[in-house]
Amino acid sequence: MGGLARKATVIKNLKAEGINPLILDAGDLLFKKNILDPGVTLDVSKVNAEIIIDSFNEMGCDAFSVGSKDFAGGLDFILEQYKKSNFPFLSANIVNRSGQLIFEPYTILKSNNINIGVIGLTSVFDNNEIQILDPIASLRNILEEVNSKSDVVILLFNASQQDLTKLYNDDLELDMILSSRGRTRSSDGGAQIPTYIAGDRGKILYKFELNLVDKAVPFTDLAWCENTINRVEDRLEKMKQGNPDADLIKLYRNDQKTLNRIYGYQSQLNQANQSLENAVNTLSFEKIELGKLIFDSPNILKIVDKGKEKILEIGGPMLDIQGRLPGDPHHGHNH
Amino acid sequence: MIKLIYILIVLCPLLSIESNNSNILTIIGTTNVHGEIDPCG
Repeated sequence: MGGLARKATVIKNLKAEGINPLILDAGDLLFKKNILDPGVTLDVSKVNAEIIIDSFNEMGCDAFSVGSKDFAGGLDFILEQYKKSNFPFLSANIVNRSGQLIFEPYTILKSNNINIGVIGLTSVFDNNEIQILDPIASLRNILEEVNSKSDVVILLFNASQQDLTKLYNDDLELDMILSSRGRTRSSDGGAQIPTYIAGDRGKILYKFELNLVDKAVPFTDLAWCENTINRVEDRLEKMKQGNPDADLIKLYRNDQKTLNRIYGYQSQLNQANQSLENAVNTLSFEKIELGKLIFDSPNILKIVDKGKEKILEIGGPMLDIQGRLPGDPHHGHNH
Repeated sequence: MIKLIYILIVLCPLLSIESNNSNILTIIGTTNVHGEIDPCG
């Protein structure tokens, strides 16, 4: 087994080290697609989703922001999971047909005497049972209230790239964004509000460390600074055409286009170096691969086994020899 | 008295680490799990 059972072990080990992490999920947790074919496929997927909720209940979760794919089992199904979960489902812009919010828009968590506001949000998607309000307007409506109660504000956003761009242009007071929908694995949080996507299928956990010194100052994303410095230095070095002592301005004095590129790189380099030097609050992260060296949590294995029995009862497709459920990309593989 | 000084010397760095850690927030984040319970095999 892997995935959930290993995630639980990582969390347990951190707790044993005296670290009490906040566990957050940015959405598209329960299903693969926005719409699933009715019948056995949907029934099996629902059992999978129940296994995930039961496992999250067991290992602990502090907030889950509901995304578009989480509605693939229907509104009643997700409300049922919400009721039986011991952690908050969040969304500041998913409303029912009467226009009322279905979930709490945000929650305030406390860790190491730091108040953390966590907001749930999603970009617009089609679903007949619910409505999705404009995400940026909905965020703006609650952000002042959340900021007044929090030292750090984190947005869990099932976001389209277009909405992320809009959000950056709005200059909103957010410390960090954990974004789903994209499938990339971020190597840094970018030049704007630190924004991270932790890949897909739960293969990798991102462990962030936020060091808060002054609540009034934004966080400096150390990975972005370091990556920018390395990337730009590398490019400038290549432009020296094998002569490490070359003066780039002299070398390209007759090539205004290249000179402009060099000035651009130097400006990026200065910005990243200054951010590092002046950093007050810092954000760093590490990727934790849930590989075979991490033991499976026996409690989660029990939950999964119970789910598999249920799948057999409903007449779902048989599990493979490795005990993998249908839909698993490794289903049927002998490894 | 010497024992007390020894204990203080040993504890001081530990207490200082504890105090520095009080501003650190650790977050475990996941995205796009997509209903996968065993993606790693």
